[in-house]
Order: sequence, then structure tokens, then C-alpha cells
Amino acid sequence: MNEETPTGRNAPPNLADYEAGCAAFSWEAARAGLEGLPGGAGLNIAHEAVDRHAAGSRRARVALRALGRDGSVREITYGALRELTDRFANVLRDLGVERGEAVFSLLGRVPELHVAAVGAWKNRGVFCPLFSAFGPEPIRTRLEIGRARVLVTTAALYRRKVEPLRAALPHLAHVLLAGLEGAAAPAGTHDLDRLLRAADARFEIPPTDPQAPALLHFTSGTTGRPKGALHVHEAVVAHHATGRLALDLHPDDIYWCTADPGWVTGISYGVIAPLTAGATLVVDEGEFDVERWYRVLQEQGVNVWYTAPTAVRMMMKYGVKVARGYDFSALRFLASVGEPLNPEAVRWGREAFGLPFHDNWWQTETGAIMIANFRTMAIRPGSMGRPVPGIEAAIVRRTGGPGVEVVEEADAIGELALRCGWPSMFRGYLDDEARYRKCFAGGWYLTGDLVRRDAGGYFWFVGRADDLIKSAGHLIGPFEVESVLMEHPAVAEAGVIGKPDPMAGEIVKAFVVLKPGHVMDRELQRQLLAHARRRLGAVVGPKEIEARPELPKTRSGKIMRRLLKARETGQPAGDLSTLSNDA
Amino acid sequence: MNRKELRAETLAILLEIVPDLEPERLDGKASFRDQFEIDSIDYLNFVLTLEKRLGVAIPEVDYPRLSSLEGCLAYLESKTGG
Repeated sequence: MNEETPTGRNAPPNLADYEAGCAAFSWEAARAGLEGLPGGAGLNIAHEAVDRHAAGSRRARVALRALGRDGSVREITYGALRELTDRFANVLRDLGVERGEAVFSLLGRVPELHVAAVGAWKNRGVFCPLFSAFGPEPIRTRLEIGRARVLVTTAALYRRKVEPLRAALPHLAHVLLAGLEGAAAPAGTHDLDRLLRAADARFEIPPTDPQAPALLHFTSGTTGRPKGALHVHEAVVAHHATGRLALDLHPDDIYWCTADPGWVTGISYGVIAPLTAGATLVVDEGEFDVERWYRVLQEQGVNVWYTAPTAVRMMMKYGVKVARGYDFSALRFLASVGEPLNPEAVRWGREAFGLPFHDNWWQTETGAIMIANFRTMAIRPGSMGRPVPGIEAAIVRRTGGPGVEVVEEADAIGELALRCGWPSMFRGYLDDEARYRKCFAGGWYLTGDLVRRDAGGYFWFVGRADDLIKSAGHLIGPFEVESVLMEHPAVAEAGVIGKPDPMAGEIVKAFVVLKPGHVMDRELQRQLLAHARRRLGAVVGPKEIEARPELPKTRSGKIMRRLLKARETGQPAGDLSTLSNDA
Repeated sequence: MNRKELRAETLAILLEIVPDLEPERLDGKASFRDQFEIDSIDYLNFVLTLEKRLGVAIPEVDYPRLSSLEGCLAYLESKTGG
């Protein structure tokens, strides 16, 4: 690279002109920008993320800068990360873990996550992250559906959330515990550090089919069990391209993604995209704390920061004055994802950091950012932005037949659809081909999100077409919450909705019908909330529970969550006709 | 309010928001987040409820001082003059 090329705050934009960038883009060219396995042996995420940097001039560059809860800082270079992930792949091989088998993680933001993910890909396994704030019930369901063969977690999480379920998980052959620091591994588990030290330090990635499964991400459904969306190694082409174009990632950047690794953002943009760029990743174990976050931005000299609306709103609550005490001069680009970012939040970024927040949109199923506000494009605050180069997006209406009707007129509301064929499109829901097929019509992937597009081509989020709840960036399925509430002896029926909340976007609220002989007093309220939180975890469990004599239902007996929500928010019931397809 | 009363009230509020908490196992010096599941929305509700019930104003910059039981009590004592 030319030494004169400005870096950091002054790095030139990767997408200088949106229209020209779209016209010049092709997925073939994006694929050619990656290296591929030596000797034309296919495409493997691990090679693009780590090995090709470790083999070249970036070997000594810091890949991960891990900030511990205790204030410790641990740096891992690309060279060292290659060795660690080679060792992890050898650990898997030595344990007899085979190609295509699932390696799960239940971890916070720690480097062991990166090691496990990349090591699993080297062994041609399927990596699946779980959210560490999940309670035992969501964990059990996902380990079971995903047929987890290996789980990487910590001793504390294992004891609290997995050990009691172990007997019900016959597929789970190996539990590897990170961070034991010499303490004895509980029965039925391995000390990950010891295994890593004992394993061979070199591993050659076997030939990898770009279409081989690499990632499994669970997402919530409105009915039934959570869905396991499968992605393939080829997805790395989209991770890399969107990292460059939508997040403006440069090889010399210090990059910080605050997403939890249990969700798709934490992997696509917390692990894969920035590593393929060759950037230095700040991996912060700590929880959200405004002043500490400002310190991280300042002390680490973060250039590109990817965070979430709930965090931005919390920062806004603290006010601009607190932010003024810090030096953010290294920052070049701020992005946000998870739910629509309020226009005030976009503008607040300018006041506090001298830069606006750039909202973008995508889903677990799309694997990568699909619609974004780009660095060089004028932001329309509150808008999702425009499709990334290589992506064709449209507003459609379902016709009930095999095709869809594409709506061209400006500002008409319809379902957001994406033309099939981008590399990170999901390739199936695990064991649920029928549900997968229902997501497509006429060559389009139907997202389930209602949007409108203005005359300038910017997309605006309107709402979900289904009953899924978006709370603090987490997509929560009402069915999972209702099922757990119904397990309680006092509950006859349950209906769960997202109640609008200024901080979280929505919070989980449950309506229950009690069995005869039960009365909703403070004690029962407390019991129900406690029961749900214990089983589901703090994020998924309801924040409010209200008893009702009955719940509105369709003729077929399905609870009409939309009507519950309309009543809760004071929306006129007449508005439901356009939203409801089960009335 | 003396420290004992403050402690009882703080625990009562915490239990409303985190009903699965076992108060007898709570370590007063350790942060809430290291001991039980409490997300950022719970934490915010906890602080806002403390404000309302105890009639004290808690500026956002002070939130981190309320992250453990001992921290809460020391802070609230200074605020209520208890």
C-alpha cells in the first residue's frame, strides 16, 4: 500500500459515489477480491479472515485487542490468532469432531469466541453462537435443534445453564470450558486452555466447498420452535464487501462492534467482516456503561464504531455534556443496527461525536447488511438508507399465488423483498424445508418487514408483518415466551406482544388468563415474572404481566396478538384489517 | 431513612424488577450484573423506581455508582442524608 494514503479519521471512503459504485459492482468481482484456499481448493471463511493475513505482511498486526472486565488488555496478532485457531481445529479433530458437525458457543465478548468460530471453520464444522443471557430453556431448545456436538463456554455459565440439562442432550459429546485458569474442570467437561496447549500448532484447512454450511444462527418464529438459519462459506464474500462498502472498513482501522456474539451481528460484523478487512478489533467484555464506552473510544482510538439504537438512546439520556469531556478525534464512521434509529439519535451523533450515526438494515436470514446509509451519501434521518451495491430491493405485496406484485409507486407501504442470489443469503432452516420455501416467491426473498420507499430511493421501516418483538435489538418470538408461561400451574392461556418503549423500542409484555381459583395479586405476579425469567433469561422474559378474563381469538382459536397490541397502544382496531392476515 | 430501612426498600424494588433474585445469596460488594441476570432495561427501571419511591434525583452520570447493593446504600445515604 502507498504510504501516503491517509488512514484513520482521514481515510478516503471506500464507496465514493453511490450510483457509480452500484453500477460497477458485481459479486464475481467481489469474490475475486478474496484469495480462496491455496491451489484452488475452494473458499473457507477462516482462510480469508485469518490465515491469508497471517501468511503475509499483516502477520504482526494486532487482530484482537481484548478488554477484560477487570481492566486487563490482551492483544492477539493475526499470526498468533492463526496458531490459536489451528490448535483449536486440531482439538476438534483429536476429539473426533467431523466435517459438518456443529460447534456451539455460549460466551460473552471474549477472544475465545473468535478462536472457536475460526477454528470450527478450519475443521469444516458449522459454528453456532448462543446468547449468554439466555435462560436454560432457550439454550436447551437450540442445542437440541442444532444437534450441538461441541459447546464452548465458561465454568460459570456451564454450571448455571447447561449442567442441569446435560442428560437431555445426547448429541452434545464435548463441553470445552474457557478461562478455567488452572481450576479443575467439572465432571463431563474439558479445560479448553489445556487442550489448546497440547494440540498441534499447525493445521491445514482441507479443500472447502464454498456452498458447504459454515454458520447456524437461530432466529425466533411467531409459531413453533426457533428456526436455525444456515449460511455457507461463500457468505464471506458478502461479509467482506459490505464491511468495506457499508461500514467503510479499511485495513488499518481500529474497529469496535458492540453487538453480543450471540446474535448474527456479533458474528458477521463482530468477527468475520473486520477480520477479512485485516482491521484491529476491539473486543470489550464489559457491559454497557456510558462513560466506560467513551473511554474505550478515546483510549483505543476507534475509527469505525458499530452499535445499536438502545445504546445510542441511553447515551442521549446522559446528555452531550458527558461526551464533550472525551477526545473522539479518531472516529471516522458510526453505524447502528437492530431496529430503526430515531432521527434525533442520528443528529445527536453529530452533536456528541461530530459525526452522524448511519443506520442500516439486515436480518439473520440475509447474513449481511442489505440496506444502508453510506458514508458519502446524504442521510435522511430515520431512514434505513439504500440497497448496498449488488442487492436489488423492492416493495411487494403477496398475491397468495406463486408470484408477488411489485409496487413501484413512491411511499406505498408493502413488504420488503430482496432479489435472490447474493452470497450470504441463508440456504435453509434446519430440518424445516417447508418453512424455508415459504420465505420465497417469484425469485424474491420476502423479509416479513413492512417498509416504504420514498421518491429518492430511500427505504423507511414501518413495522413487522408478523408478531415478532424487537426489544433492545433482540428479535423475540412470542410463542417461546407464551409456552413457558403456560407451564406455570396458574396460567390457562397466554398472549405475548411487544409494548412500545422509549428506550428498548419494545419490551416484552404478556397477557394471561388465569386458571379458575387463581387471582392475580402481587405474589402471583412476582411468581410468574420470576418463573419466566428463570426459564428464558432476563432479555427474553416478559417485563410486564397482566391478567385478562379472556384473550381475543380468531375463529380457529388462535390468539390475536395484534389485537392485544392495538388495545395496549390505543391504536384503533379498524387499522388491523391491513395488518392482520388471520382475522 | 436509616441504612436498614434503605436496604429493605432497595431490596424490595430490586425484587420487583428481578423477581428471580435470591436476596439471601446476594453479595453486597459485588456488582449486580456479576451475580444475576439483569439487562440494561431492568437496570434503568431499577434506578427510576428508586428515584420515585425515595424521592431522590439520580443523575445519569451517577448510575454506575448504583451497580452493587453496597454502592446503592452508600449513594442513597448521601442523598437522603440518612
